[in-house]
Amino acid sequence: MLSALEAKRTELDDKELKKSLEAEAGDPTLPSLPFRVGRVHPITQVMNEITQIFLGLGFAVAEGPEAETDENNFGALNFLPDHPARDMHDTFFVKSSPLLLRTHTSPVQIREMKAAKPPVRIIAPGKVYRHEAIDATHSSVFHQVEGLVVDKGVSFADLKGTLEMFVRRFFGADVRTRFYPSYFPFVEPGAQMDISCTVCAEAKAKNGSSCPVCKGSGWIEMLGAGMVHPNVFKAVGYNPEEVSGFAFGMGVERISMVRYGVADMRLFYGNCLDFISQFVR
Amino acid sequence: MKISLNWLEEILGSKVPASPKEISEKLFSLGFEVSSVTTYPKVTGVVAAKILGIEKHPNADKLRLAKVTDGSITETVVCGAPNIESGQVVFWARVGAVLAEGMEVKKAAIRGVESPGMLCSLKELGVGDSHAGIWVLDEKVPLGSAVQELVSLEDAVFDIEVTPNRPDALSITGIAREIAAAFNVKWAPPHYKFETRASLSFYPVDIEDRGGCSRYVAKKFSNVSVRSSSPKIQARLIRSGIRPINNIVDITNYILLETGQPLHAFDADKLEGGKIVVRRARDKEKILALDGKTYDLDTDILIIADTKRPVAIAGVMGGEATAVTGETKNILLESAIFSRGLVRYGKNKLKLSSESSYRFERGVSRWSVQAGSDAAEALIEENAGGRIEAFSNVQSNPDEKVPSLTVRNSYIQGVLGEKVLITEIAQIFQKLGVTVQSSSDEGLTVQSPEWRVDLDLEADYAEEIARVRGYQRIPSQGRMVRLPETAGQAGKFYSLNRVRSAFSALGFDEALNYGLVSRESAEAVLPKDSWAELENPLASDHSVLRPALAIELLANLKSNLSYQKKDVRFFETGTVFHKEGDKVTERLRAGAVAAGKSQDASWQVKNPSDIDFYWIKGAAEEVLKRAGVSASFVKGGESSVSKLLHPVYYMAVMGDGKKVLGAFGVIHPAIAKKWDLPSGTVILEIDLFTTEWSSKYESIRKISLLPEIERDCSFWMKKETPWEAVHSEIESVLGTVLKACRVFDVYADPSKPGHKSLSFTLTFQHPEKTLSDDEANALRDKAAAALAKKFGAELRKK
Repeated sequence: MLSALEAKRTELDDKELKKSLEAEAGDPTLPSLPFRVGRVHPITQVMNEITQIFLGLGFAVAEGPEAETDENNFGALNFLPDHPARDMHDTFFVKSSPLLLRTHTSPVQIREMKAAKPPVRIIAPGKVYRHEAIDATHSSVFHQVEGLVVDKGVSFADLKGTLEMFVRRFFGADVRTRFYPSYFPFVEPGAQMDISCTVCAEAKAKNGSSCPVCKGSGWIEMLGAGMVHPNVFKAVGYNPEEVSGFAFGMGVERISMVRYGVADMRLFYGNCLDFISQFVR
Repeated sequence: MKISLNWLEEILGSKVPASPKEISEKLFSLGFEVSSVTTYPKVTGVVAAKILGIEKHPNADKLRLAKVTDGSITETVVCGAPNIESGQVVFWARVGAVLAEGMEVKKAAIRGVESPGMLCSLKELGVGDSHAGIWVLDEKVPLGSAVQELVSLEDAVFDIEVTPNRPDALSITGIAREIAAAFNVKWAPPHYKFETRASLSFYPVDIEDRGGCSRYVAKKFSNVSVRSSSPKIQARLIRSGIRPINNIVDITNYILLETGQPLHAFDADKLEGGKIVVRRARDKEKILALDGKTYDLDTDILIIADTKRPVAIAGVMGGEATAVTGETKNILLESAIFSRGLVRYGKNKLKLSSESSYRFERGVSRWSVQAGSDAAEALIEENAGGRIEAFSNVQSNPDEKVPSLTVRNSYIQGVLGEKVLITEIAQIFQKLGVTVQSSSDEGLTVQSPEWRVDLDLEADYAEEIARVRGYQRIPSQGRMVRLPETAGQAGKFYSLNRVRSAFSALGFDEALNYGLVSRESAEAVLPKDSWAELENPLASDHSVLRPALAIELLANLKSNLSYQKKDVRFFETGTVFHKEGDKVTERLRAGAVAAGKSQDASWQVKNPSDIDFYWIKGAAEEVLKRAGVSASFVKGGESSVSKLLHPVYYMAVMGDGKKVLGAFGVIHPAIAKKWDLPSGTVILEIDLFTTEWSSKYESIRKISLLPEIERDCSFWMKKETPWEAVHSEIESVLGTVLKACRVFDVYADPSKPGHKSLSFTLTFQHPEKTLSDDEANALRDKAAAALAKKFGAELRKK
């Protein structure tokens, strides 16, 4: 008897609720409240992601000043005085000071090795400066991530294995790489690594490509690398007969351009809200 | 550098068994990036012909009729080029000829006159871009010769990037060596019999600066005839981007391209005293160079002089006074090794670079200095009829041996990560011209080829082995690694990202700036002696290393406002630079600017409040909390951005150690006016990761589930009484039972001049018991009594 009454009451309540819900005139398609969340700059995002991958591979993060000595930026890195190799690095000099604005993150290698004994396993993300006019693909300021591994018995094969691992983590498991000789005074043998074009790789295999990213070559220049030059070891007081190592350096803007399809580098420094607000991830 | 395939094959003496595409790929894998390949097609049906006479075209002013003969047939051809003259030898494309762009020459009437073919410019033959006139050949070119016999027009030209460590590859021969090694082409490298010519008279060469010039080879030729070069030499020079001048100058350029050795030819009769002196320039000496400009020399510039004056800037450019001209009869040919550094200094100092300086500063070799001289000698005798008459070969260390080096198998295996058989290494060395002196279990003892200036260390040979085998053959491995102590240490990485995420949660977008600002804007922030300037800025608005982040951030704000954005919030983390005396110091900072509404307007919140001082104060608190900094805010207080901030709505951020970490506030009205920014713009700037920043985590407070009880109260008090003082008095009187104290109203009433009304809610919670209404009232009264006593505050009755 009681339970029948209870059931009837529930039924009536349900009816009532149903009626009132049907009468509700709200419009859920009206716009949401505009929560305001700031976006992290794409260069920071890419640099963070690169850093995290290397942290996971047992690298430590190292840093150095942006205003550097000639010795750390050039001399100790086997750039001989008055050698045309220096022409590859147009340099800003600080007025009435022996310092220059570092042209690459490689001086962090020198600082790190001078401060610590092997094994060394670091990356150094940071800002660098070149005395170069700014256009769509050149910037007088950009970012690099430097890497250095020094230990007993480190070989070029380790360089390849490590960097291949990195690009697969960053770009995906099917990305392919190719290594070929190149010249940087602080490494020997020196190499450049390309990755298969992430934009047109598949399309190209089928019917050729006019891809703007790889210019139809199917390959994108990714980074410079090589085995640490014996003269660099000597400059920091390591014995090149005892240890060997590899170093690499990559341009963060370049990688970001590929990832986000940005054709003009200046967009990264334009600080236009319509640009930055697109990087929601 | 442009490399012609048929020139290269001429040097090899055989065809390269590969297509241009395969050659490009091979060069790439050897470390020479090919930026483009230009192919030039075959040209047929074109012969050398002489212009016998020229007449006017009956129907056109700009056209003429040229009577030409190839030695057997004579016809009249219509020609529009202004540079033809009777007696010239030119290329005649006859009917049926196929020209460079694939055009077939047909018999046609031009303005009513039949023309059996046409006379050719460089462009029609695919040599250069110049369409300006007919290509005029040397008059000794045999008439009737087919163009393909005179000029190797069919070709593939590679544009190759050569890295600064490989000067030996800045020549056709250099690339030929690489190609031969890569494709296993057997060839006899050009054999130059460089020998001391004892039978010839000695040409006096005086090297005063031995450090600047380690070798000088001089050859004097007599009775040369200066005229234009053969079509082949001209065509090759033009396709390499060099303008033909005359046969002598062209030969020096041609041999530079072929061997990589820069050469210079002087008019020997104009060398005063008949002598060459290699020395530094004297103070105030000048030279009129071949480019027609006069250069002021200094005592660090290496020059070539005669007994009276400078005649060339060594390794850079010759002088006008001793240049080879149409009247020249006797020449002196220079082939030398100059100091890389001195050539580079001269080039930079005079802002004058040339194909020669490009090679000298990278380094020429013992091979090229001889090969270049000999190859040029052969061409001069062949093409200019000159006879060698005097000679000298002055060198610093004639007996210097190329040092030997042992390339250990174990070393190669260590670097490359795989074992390469010693037989394979020996083969690679042999292909590259590396002399293997001996072989042992340890490895190979080798000598670098005479033309390589970059092989000094075992590491250099390791690269040669890897390069010729191909980097793709090196295995890739992830070794077991010894993790250093520091493995995984992230430095500031996570802390910096915490700061970033705090800003992002507060609605700030991250900006990224160059970090270079104008002097004027730097002066607005800090006095001139406290910031660092660039010696060589690219532009005046990028000449100072930023002393504060706010300068560029305010510019970002302004530019977005100019794009009709209304609510803008930006933050940036980065380095700022200050100067203390001569020392440049760097600090890592976070900066932020904002203007507009505190919240985006919507259909629900129609009129949100403006961003103001209290908003940025809240942002500052949040960021510092997230970063683990215990800081206090003080009124006044100098900071490196105080000049940008409002005198009243401004607070400095103080760390525990009473060190100023930064400041925040509303923009100074004068700066807002000067930089055209909204008066409500707010700014925050703090140094990151100074000693005040803590990575420690605090233990939690106990959570109480007992009910809270609130009491509102309003007080009249003197206008200047700061809230902070009131707050701390209440806190000290009530102790831990006071959970929160929130201001909900501040206002002034004209009926109470000099006073303000301050209303706030007190929230009580006892740790052990539920508070009764009476107890809560008593707590409020206790606070009221304390405020009355300390500040003369008067509790307003409801």
